Amino acid sequence: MGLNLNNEDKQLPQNSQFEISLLGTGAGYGESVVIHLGYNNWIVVDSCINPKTKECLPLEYLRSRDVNVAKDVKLILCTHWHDDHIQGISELLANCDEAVFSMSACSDQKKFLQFVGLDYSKREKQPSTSSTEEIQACFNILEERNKPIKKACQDRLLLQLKNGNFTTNIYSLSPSDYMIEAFDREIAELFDQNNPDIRIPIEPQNHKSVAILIEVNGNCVLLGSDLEVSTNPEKGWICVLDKCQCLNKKSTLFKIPHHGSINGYHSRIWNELLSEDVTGILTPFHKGKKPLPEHQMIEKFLNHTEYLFITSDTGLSRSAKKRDHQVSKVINQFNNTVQELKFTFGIVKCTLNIQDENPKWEIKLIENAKRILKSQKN
Amino acid sequence: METNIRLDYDKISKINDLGNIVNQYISGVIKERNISIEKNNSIDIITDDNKAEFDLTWLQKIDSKKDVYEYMSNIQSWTGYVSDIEEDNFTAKLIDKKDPTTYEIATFSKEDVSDGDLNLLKPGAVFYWSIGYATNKGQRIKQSLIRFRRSGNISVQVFDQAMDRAEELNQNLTWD
Repeated sequence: MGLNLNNEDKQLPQNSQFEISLLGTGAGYGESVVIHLGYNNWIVVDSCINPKTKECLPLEYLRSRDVNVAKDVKLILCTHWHDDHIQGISELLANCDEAVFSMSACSDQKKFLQFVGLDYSKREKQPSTSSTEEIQACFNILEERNKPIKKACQDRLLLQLKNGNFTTNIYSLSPSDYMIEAFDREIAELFDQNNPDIRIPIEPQNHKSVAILIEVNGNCVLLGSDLEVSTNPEKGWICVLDKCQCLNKKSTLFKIPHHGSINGYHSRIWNELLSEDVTGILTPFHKGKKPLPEHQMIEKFLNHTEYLFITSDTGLSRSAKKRDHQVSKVINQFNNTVQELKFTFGIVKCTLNIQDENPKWEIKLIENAKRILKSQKN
Repeated sequence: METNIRLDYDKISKINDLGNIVNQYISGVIKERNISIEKNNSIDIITDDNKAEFDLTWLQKIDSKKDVYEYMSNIQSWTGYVSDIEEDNFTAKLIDKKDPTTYEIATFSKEDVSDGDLNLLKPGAVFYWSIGYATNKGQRIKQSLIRFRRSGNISVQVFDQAMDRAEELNQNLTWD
């Protein structure tokens, strides 16, 4: 089926263009970042699917633009193990023959593989949307290809490319050593508990997520993943701020972490890691009680930047799905809080011409993407 | 007298009415006993070969009250994933079993959950929500049923297979 992009949006970027496309789906269906590093070198950070067609959205986006995915996608990064960042990633990997696959993991790799394998065995009997299937499928592909998994951790150079005058470095900024050890302990405890009634991962994953810095000829972009701020300085953003050695230059584009949630915010991130005229991009989320981003957080972001863009609104419908009238009536009698989370696809495409003397990000809003202005408050 | 029977859940489920009766028996047994199901309890365990095990003595008890447990026809069912829990209620993501495309969310009162299931109510827990019509003494009544998933422990064979596969992957996969 593919994505319905117009001719202009389908055009491939020029060799000298550094391009970041943030794909969002509204509600809680996921996000992905598709990045052109110049000279047909692409990377993909996370994956999501269209819940109706089950198509892998970053893959469809690349195909719609006639990218030779088998050859030109150099890196696929799985930032963390949440459904809204991982759905479709095995299909993406299966089609990107040359791509390096990177993710964070605990240090006891055997235990980690046992953990995934056991959970996968349970899921085979009880189909669900669990992310375990995706991870297990990726392992199978990498085994067949005889390709290593690039472990992401603090201050790790994941990819370096040199094309003509272009030098690209991609660093992972997290998770910290402390969090990797914590992951070891968590897996060991899960084995001890042998509790099959909870979907894994049961512990919050956001402190284990991989934030990255992309640097193309000195132009930096910070992708915040879902990394949160913790009171423990050994994890999350404080650890990045205090300990990362690779953050030498301020970023001009920032993917705001964790859908603009308060727990992903710290003024030090904005003051120490980002330039004054930074462009902020984010995706919405809604799966629990509160839709993200909240109004108060939007106001905070707008105090830091006037350039703030979101892939769509939160996509919350005021009613349940459309069904037979009689069925809807009975649902409403038993529970009148049922609300559909609409699939609202949007792309914020940001382009920087590296050869310009004073490069500035150009923003293109596709489908439901929009700019957030001070008076708008989403 | 043999006090345990094994039913082929797949086959029975294919026969609609009988499948519904069995479903009602299962949920009835759970309510009747009003306890949390402990590990290795023989009720409501779906085993690796997809068989359901019941304690026959409880079925006999239910049978004596069968006017209470007649069949229920589902008109709508979801798989739910608990996302937030508050003092009196909880919020969940719902996936429509017939149309597993877009999600829904809903808030439920804890009173909707049977006492025996309350200890399973945790963030990330999986439950099944069905609404439909039940027949009681010939009267048709609307019914809503929430049942939390209990997973039987995987068999030694499946466990060993998973461990073997993990060992194989550990040998073949490299981490850079």
